[in-house]
Amino acid sequence: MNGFLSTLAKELKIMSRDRAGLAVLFAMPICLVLIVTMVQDNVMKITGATVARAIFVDQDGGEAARLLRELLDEQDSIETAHELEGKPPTLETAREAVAAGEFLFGVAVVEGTSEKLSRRADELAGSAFSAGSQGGADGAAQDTPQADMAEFVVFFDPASQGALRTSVISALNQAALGIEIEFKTKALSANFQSGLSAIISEQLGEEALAGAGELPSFHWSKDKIAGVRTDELVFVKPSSVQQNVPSWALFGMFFIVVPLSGAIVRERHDGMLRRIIAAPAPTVVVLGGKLAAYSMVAFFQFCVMVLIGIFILPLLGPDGLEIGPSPLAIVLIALAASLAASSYGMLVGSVAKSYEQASVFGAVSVVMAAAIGGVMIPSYAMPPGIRSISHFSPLNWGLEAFLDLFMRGSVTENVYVGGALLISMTILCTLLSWIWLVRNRG
Amino acid sequence: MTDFVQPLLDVTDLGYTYPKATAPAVEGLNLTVSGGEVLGLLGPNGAGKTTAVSVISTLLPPQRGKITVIGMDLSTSQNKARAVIGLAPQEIALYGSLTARENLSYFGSLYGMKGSELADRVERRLSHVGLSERADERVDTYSGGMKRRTNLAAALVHDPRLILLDEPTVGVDAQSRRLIMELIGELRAGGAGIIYTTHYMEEAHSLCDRIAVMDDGRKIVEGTPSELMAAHPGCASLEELFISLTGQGLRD
Repeated sequence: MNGFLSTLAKELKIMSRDRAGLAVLFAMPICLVLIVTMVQDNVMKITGATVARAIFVDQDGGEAARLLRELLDEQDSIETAHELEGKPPTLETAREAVAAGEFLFGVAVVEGTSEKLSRRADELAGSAFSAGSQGGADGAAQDTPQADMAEFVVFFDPASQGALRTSVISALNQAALGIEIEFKTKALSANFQSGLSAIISEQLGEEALAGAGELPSFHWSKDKIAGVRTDELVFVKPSSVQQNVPSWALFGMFFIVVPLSGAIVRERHDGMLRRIIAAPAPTVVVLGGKLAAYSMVAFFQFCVMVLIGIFILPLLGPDGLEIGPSPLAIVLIALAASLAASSYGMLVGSVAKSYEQASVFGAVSVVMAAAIGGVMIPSYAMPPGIRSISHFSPLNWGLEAFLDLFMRGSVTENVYVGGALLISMTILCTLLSWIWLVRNRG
Repeated sequence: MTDFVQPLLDVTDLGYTYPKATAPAVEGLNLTVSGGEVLGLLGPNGAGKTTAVSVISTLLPPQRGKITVIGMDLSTSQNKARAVIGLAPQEIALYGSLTARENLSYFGSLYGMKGSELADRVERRLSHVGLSERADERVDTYSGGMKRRTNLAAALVHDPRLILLDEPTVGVDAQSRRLIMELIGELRAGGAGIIYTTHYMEEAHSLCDRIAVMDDGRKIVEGTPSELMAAHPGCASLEELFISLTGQGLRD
């Protein structure tokens, strides 16, 4: 125990005095998570996967513009601006702002839209009541309206993606349909009594109309009677933060391989390892102390990354990281990943012939494991061949477990399997490096 | 009746060949070191001195022969024997970002010492090598001589009975060399057995009770300095004797 604790303390002292090394160890994943999260957050915005900013141009000033504005304001996924530099935008200034990337899209209600809609709705309502002998089999009016069709205009940022355009156009079509129904029901309501009077007097005569008393009026409720409910299978909305914080935290933790393997190479070359092996304290216990010290640093790295996700990222735009209902499982997986990363670093340091070999091989192997493990591109987006080998990456074991905990909020099979694999890797790498160091101790 | 005194170290027919090497690094080596004795192990580069020291210090497993330390057979009591052996490697085997005190405390802890016992021994050894005043400075700020002295102190912190010093005076100034020589004298007077490898012949002549010269993995001659000089009357100095025994050809 003496050898374990004294080695643990010694390693922590050495690391605490290598401030530049520690800074790199922490700064690198922090920079990566901040940059990648913000870049991906922007990509999600232009693909419509997060809140999109829009500019609304009202040249109509009527009922149609008011209704469309209300419908857009109700959308959680759209943040609508109504002014540019404190003034109502014109079609030109709005187009310029969207083209400049200030907004993802703009919606304009041009002058006369409400008037056109009213006129056309009136025509349709009028033709509906004069259709006693002219209606089709389904009772629909057959007259072609005389008024032009009213149109809402939408224009997009050239950088916006197809998925965003499709969803915006779909939302606007839905809004247009709602407005159309609103105008039609109003017109129908307004024309109902006069239309009914005309039909009765035409079909039954003026006497019948006079004897009919007060005719019924037409009221149309606006209450929605059907809708779509999203039954979320994830506990939080998927976001660049929920994906990137655990991914890049894992990447940073595994980068502990570089300083740890370098430290072991130095101990071998400078003779400290010979002193250690020549002492009565079991070498495997000393290695355990080293493993514990570096694992503590890796775990601390993870904690810093999580705190940045929770407190710093929201200040920069994206949503904050949500921990979910299984914080203990997250801690256990982070500990297992810290141990696995450190044990791998010990193995690389034990086998490498030089500091350069250890640092280059250590760094390259971690980057490759991260790439195939789904840190840079989610494994579901990989070609089948690469996806099948991604299961061999320790970063994939940790990442799959983290994604289930951070995104689905549940302790799934991935969590158990990932944790078990990471611990198995720790035991295997530690034993291999112990055997290697003792066999090559001279 | 024979008065039998057990040697601190008894090496019999030691052999070691590195993997993939075509010739043995050490072959048929026999050595004994008693308490209060300094054995100088001399030889050109590649003669097998460091390999012999590595096997005796348990860093390498003996492939042939037998080694006992205070009666403990290294093949069966390796860990017990380690507790009484002190090794000062050729390299400055210290953590540069730690202080001398921290280095000595760490290596002392690997011998099971802790608390005030460890602190006292560390302080004593630092004082022996003249580093008490700068004990709390980082080793990487030390001069070459100070590093050498710390390297030696780290080998002695657990008060070993058998001390293996692999070229402990390489690259040090005259003052540090003298201090190291004096310290070795004190250790000898305290009853420790010392194996001392060096390339400095004068140093070996003045310090060692006996000298063994190795070449090509074998011991080619052994005796007190005066015995060796008497056996080779044509040689005016130990260096001449060394050259006459090992030849003038370069070894590395």
